[in-house]
Amino acid sequence: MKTEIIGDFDLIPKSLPAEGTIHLDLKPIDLMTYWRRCGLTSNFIANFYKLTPKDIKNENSVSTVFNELIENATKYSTKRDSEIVVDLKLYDIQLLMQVKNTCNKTNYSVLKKRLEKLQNTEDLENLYIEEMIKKGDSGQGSGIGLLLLLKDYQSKIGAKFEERKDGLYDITIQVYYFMEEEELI
Amino acid sequence: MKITAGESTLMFDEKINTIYLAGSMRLANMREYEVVKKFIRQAYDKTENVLIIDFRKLIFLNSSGITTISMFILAVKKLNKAKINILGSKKVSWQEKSLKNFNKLWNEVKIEIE
Repeated sequence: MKTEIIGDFDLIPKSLPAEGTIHLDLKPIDLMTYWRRCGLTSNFIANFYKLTPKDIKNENSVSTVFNELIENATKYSTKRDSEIVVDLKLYDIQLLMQVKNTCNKTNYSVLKKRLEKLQNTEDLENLYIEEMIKKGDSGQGSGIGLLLLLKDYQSKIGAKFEERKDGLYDITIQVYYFMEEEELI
Repeated sequence: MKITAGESTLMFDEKINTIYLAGSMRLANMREYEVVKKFIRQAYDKTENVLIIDFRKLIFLNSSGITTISMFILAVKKLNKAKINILGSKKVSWQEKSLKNFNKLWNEVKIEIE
């Protein structure tokens, strides 16, 4: 079975101990049925990782970044007997957010193509403008979440795609978000 | 004029041409954002000079929401009727990071982050 890696994946050696870890097993069917659970999970994680009780900047950013990942995993997962596995690890000021889900071949192809485009684009600002103009004309869906994470949050993003025996794909997305240190009081 | 969208509210004060957004706006998809798109467009159509969109109390906006506002900006840019002023807060980091995107779509959109 084929395994592919795109972008900044496993930047930090797994042997390096993290300072704060969270592991969650979620069901896409639950999150889809009760959509607000995506936001609730994001807010819990953001509250857990903020650097001080008054660190509202990192709290808002972490919640926003993670929410994009969990919303995507929920929308594009296979629905039955499927899981979303969340792992978060903090290394000094670098927060690794990892979300693994299972999807069909179509969604795998769309995401792979999307990540390849983002990795190969030098001017992300221009890409945002171009894509918005294109969407305005076509009236199609969003799809700019990962672009905003790279562009507005200076995150690093990588993905691992694993083909399964049943024809589905396990997708692991990693986002590295750098906590804003000036919030340390 | 006031509506609720998920865990957020939108209010339009016609007297001062200002839309106030508040809460957490994380609707599931573009179809759910239709109600937001329609509300903002109605407010724009009632405005002659400058429409102010006050985001300061909107704690979260997901990427589908940013796409919705972006598409609104591009649509009214073509009309070139009323201008748009956007208010944001430095305390809410998504606003500091992402509101500037709207000015890149139409340079007549003024962004004030306080």
